[in-house]
This record gives sequence, C-alpha cells and structure tokens, in this order.
Amino acid sequence: MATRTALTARVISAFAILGVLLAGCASNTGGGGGTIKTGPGVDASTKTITLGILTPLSGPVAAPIGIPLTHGIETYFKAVNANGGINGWQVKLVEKDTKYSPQDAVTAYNEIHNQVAMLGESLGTPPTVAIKDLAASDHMLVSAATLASSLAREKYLILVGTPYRLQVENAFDYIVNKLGDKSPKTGLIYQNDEYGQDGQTGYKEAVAAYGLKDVGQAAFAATDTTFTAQVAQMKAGGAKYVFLTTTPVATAGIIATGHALGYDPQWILQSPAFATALVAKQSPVAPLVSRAWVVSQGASWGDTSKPGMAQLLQDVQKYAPDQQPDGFFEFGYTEAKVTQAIIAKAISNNDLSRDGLFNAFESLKNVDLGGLLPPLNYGSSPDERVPSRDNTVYAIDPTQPTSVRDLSGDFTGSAAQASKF
Amino acid sequence: MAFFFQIFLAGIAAGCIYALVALGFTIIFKSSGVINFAQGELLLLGAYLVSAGVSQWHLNFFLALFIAIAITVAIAVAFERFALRRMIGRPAFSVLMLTIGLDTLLLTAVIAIWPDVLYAPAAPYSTTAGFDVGGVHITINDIWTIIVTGILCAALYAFFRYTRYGLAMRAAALDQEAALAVGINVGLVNTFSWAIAAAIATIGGFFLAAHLSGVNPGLGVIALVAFPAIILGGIDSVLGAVVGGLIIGIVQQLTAGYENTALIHLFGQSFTLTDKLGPSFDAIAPYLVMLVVLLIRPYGLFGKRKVERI
Repeated sequence: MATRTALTARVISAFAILGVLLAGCASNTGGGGGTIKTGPGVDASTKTITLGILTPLSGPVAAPIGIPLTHGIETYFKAVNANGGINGWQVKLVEKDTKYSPQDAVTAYNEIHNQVAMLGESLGTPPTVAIKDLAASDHMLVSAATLASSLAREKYLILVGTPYRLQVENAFDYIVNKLGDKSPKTGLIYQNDEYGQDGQTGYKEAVAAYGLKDVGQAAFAATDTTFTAQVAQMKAGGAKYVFLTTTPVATAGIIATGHALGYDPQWILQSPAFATALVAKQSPVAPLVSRAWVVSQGASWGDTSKPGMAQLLQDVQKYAPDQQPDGFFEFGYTEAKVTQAIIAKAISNNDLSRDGLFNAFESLKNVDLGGLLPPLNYGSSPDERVPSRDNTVYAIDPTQPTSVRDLSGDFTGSAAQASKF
Repeated sequence: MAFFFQIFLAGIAAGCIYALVALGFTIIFKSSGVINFAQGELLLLGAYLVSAGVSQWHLNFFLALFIAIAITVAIAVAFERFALRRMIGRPAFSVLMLTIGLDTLLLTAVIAIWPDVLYAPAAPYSTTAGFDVGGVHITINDIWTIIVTGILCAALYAFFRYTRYGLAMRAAALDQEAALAVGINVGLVNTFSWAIAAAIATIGGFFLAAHLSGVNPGLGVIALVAFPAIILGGIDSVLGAVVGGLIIGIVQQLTAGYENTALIHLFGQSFTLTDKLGPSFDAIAPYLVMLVVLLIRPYGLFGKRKVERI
C-alpha cells in the first residue's frame, strides 16, 4: 500500500512538473492579465519579443538602402521600448547581413529562424523570394521591404505600400487623366529580373487601360555596360514619356545616355529607381535627374501636419540625431509601425505564437500610420494582401528635404483600382 | 538606318572597353599562365581613384589618372611579388582562388572607402557632348574611347614586337624554362605583365565610368562580359583580345537594339527574339557567339594550338 501511495505521489509530481514545464514553454501571463500563448522568439519571463532583420549591411545596396531603412526600424522600436513597449512587451532585434544576396539571405534565415517570432524586415525582392518558402514552412510572418506584386500571393509575406505594378499604372493615369495628355507615345526600360518584370506587367496593363502608344519595352541585364541600344530605341520611336523600372545606378546611366544622344523625354522613375544621392551635390547627373518624376507614396519629410511625421521627427531627434532626411529611413520606420500593429493585436488576442501573429496580421483591417502612408488594409486573399493602391507622382527637386515635391497629390488610378492579383 | 549605325557605333565603343579589359587578362595569361579574376576590380579601383582624384582631391585630370595608375600598379605588383610568387609550383586552382580573394578584397575596400551610390566620372572633356552626322549622334566620349584604345593596342603591339622587355615577355610566354636558360628574369617579366594589366584596367575603368556617367561598385562586373571576348579571340593573343572585344560589343549592342523590335518570319509565324526567348537575349548572345567560334576553332580566332612532343 505504501509502495502504491509513493508511486501515485511520484506520478502526480511528474505530471505537475510536466505541467509547469509546458506552461513555461507555450503559455504565460499576458499583458492583459490572461494567459498568453507563446512561441519561438517570445520570452514571457522577461516579456521580450525578438524580431529578425535580414538586410544588406554591406555591399553596394547597404549604404543607399539597407542601412537607412534598418535604422528606421531600429529608431521606431527604440522609441516604443523607451515608452513602455507594446503593452509592456519589449522588442529586441536580431540583425543579419544578406549583402542583398539570395544565398546569404537563406543562410541568415537558417541561422536565426528558431530565435525570432517573425521577420521585421527582409529587404529586396531576390533575397525575399529566396526565403519565402522556408518562412512559410515555419509559419513565419515576413515584413518585406519590397513591393513586388507576386509577393501578395504569399500568405506569410507582408507588403507595406502600393506594389510596383500599380505604381506604373498610376503614373500613366496621372498623365492621361490628370494632365489630359491622351494617347501619348510612351516606352519602358526595365531591368531583366522579377522587379523589372513587375514594372513591365504594370506597363502593359497601363497601355491597354489608357490607350498609350507604346514605342517599345526594352530590357537590360545587370551586366550591361551601356544603355545606348535601349535609349536609341525610345528615341527612334519618339517616346514622350519613358518609364524606368531600374535601380539608381542604372537610372543615372540611362538618363545621361539619353542626354548624350540629344534625347531628353519625360523620365518617370519607379520608386526604387530613385535615391537622393542621384541629386546630391557631387552627383554627376543631378541636373538631368532633377527633371524626372518619381512615383511613390507617403508623407514628405518635415510635413508636421501629418502626426506620424511629427512623431518620426521627434524620435529622430531623440534616438537618431545624426539621421539625415531619407525616404528609406521613413519606409523602415513605417514598416515597423505595421509590425507593431500586428504584435499589439496578437497580444490582445493572447496569442504570440507564430500562428497567433499570422491570425493577427490577417485580421488587421485598418492600420493607421499617422499619415506616413494612407491607412493600410490587410486580409486573407491576394487582393486583400495588397494593402494600398494609391500613389503620388513627385517632381524631383533637390531643394526639398527628401529631394521630391508633390505634383499629383495622393490618388488611385482606375487601372490600379481594377488590377487583380 | 540611322538607328542601325547609332547602335553599331555604341557597339564599337563598348567593344573597345571590353578589349581593354580583355587585354589585361591576356597579358597576364601570356606571361604567367594565370587567369586574373581580379581584373574587373582593378578596373573598378582605377575608376574610383581617377574620380576621387578630380572630385575629392581637386587634382588635374591627368595627374589624377597618373596617381590612379600608380596606385593600381603598386597593388598589382605587390600582389604578384608577395602572394603569387610564393605559389609557383602549386595547383592552378590555388592561384585562381588567390586572384578571386584579391577581387573580393578590392571590392570590399572600395565600398568601405566610397560608400555613396554614385560618384562623378572624371574626364578631360564633357562626357555628354556630341554632334550629329546624318541622324547618328556621335559622342565625344565614344570618339576618345576608340582613339585611345587604338593607340594603346598599337603601343602594346610595338612593345611586344620591338622592345627588349616585350621580347622577353613573349619568350617567357612560350617556354619559361627556356627563357630562364637564356638569362631572362621570368619573375620580373611576370611583375611587369601585372603592372601593364593594372595600368590598362585603370584606363578602361575611366572610360567605362564616363560611358555610364557615374562611378559605382558594379563596374567590375564588366569582367564577366570580357571573358567571352578573350576566349573568342584566343586567350593568349593580344590581337585576339581586341578583335574579340569588338565582336562581342557589336553583337551585344545590335542584339539589344533589335531583339524586341525586329520581326522574324518563320514557319508562317512572325515574332521577335524577345517573344520566343524572353528579354535581355543580348546578355546571352556573346556566349553563343563564343560557343559557335569555339566549335570551329577550339583555340579561338587568333589563339595558337599547343603542339607538344610526345
């Protein structure tokens, strides 16, 4: 009898210990007082949520894009943590350098995927495409610092802004419907990769929707050392407006080649085709690029009529005083706001597991970004994962803090509104 | 027709730059049998140094070019003397990896020193100036690229044919042991070939940056395009490097100009190359030309078949 009692006591003790261990692993007391479910990257004992950041911190993309964009995310969460965190939870970032290389992105992902709750940033289309299937198998949400349309079809990827395809459509809506230039001769020069082909898809839709007279769609490869053939094609066809789905370096080469050939059409740049460095004092192409337009969205740096921008400026002053006005910093800061909204929703649902974060993301119906971007909407279908369809056409103006001046105001063109994902 | 001549001219100018890069490869290979994978980044460093000399250090263009050549030559010579010389007798693969190491080192250093997206190219003329002839716009930059490449090729030809060092380099390229036996300092010949290759790379870098209206970290990628040129021309032939570079430049530009516009009528169908093969066929065309030539002449257009006594 004594033996049986001792055995029963041991079994009860074992279950009790197991129960405590399980509780420690999978659930804990949440910010709201209830029991919160946790997962990888969530430490309930210290109330810390760890986010992964995969970004180019070295290599050619680091200085103009990777570093300022990541700095924007860091600054936002520094401010959040200093103000008590998200419902009492602190956010910690684990940053890994991808060098903008898909292979390095996969290595970095594998290195950190067990330590983080979600990725607060994966910069660039090729690195993000490389990790998307790994992330899906881990049920890991990934905030993508790219606006490739195809990513809207990936359920674990978060887009922050209007996809590239719709940027092109909105640019031509501005020309045809706002400027009243009906049936103009137009052309496209794009780089031959997924980003470029996204721009081309938008261009083809715009040609069909607005009755544009297309003179050509000329691709170039990353190894091309001259753009004469592509530009000469636009010149020969008499294109009045030429859209560039390029990177800043190629933008400079194309616009300068056009000028050298005596051809200066209205160049229109996809948002990643422009960087403020192109119109900096030392830039050789500053006067030429200053005549171009860029299609993007968001509040102008310093526009304190937007509460989000006022907050950004305060946070910059306090946590990143050396930061110069920079569109990519602003993008990173805005991206972090969306991540914060997902985490806040997951906490209120008492579920910080990966599936809990995913459910929170899918149920985010309206994220107010304080005017940094128009409110974003998320849902479960590809069309609902396109969070916005509006854009602004900006004139490039080096006298402005981020070198752009609003031309069109924020709007959604008819083609972008109707476009299906 | 003006469109054809416009891109044909662009092809010649691009081909001249490929030829300059290919010459660097060929000169080193001729003297030492090493394929220098760092040639592209020597060009990159040269372009940045010329740009920095004029824009940041406010030097006269020619002084900046001279300093840039001196620095790239010093790096190339030091690499050959202190790294490659120790690898004599080691497998070719190890030597190749060393040059890849130098390539990575130079790229990393350039990005660390000059972190901005774009720097101004330096040139003693306006890089966008030009004039029209019969509807074809000819840029001053294209003219200078063609003239300087021509002069450099002629100078190299004369150097190899008529000077003592040139003859020594040719002798070392033919048979190092025999060259040593007749008193040629083969080590010095190798050092000299690296110095010439670095100097040519710097000049190529300056022209490439002028063509693209900016100095950026991607300039070194041109070495990838120069590979088909050297294989096509014959890896051990200076003349082959020049002709190969020109052929690749012209083929690439004509393909880029017509791939998405020129209709091909075949089997009752009309289509463009882009319709059937996708965009940027011009990036593949040089390799196709190289393959076709190699099928007919395995040693390239001007390469020499190796004959060995067995």
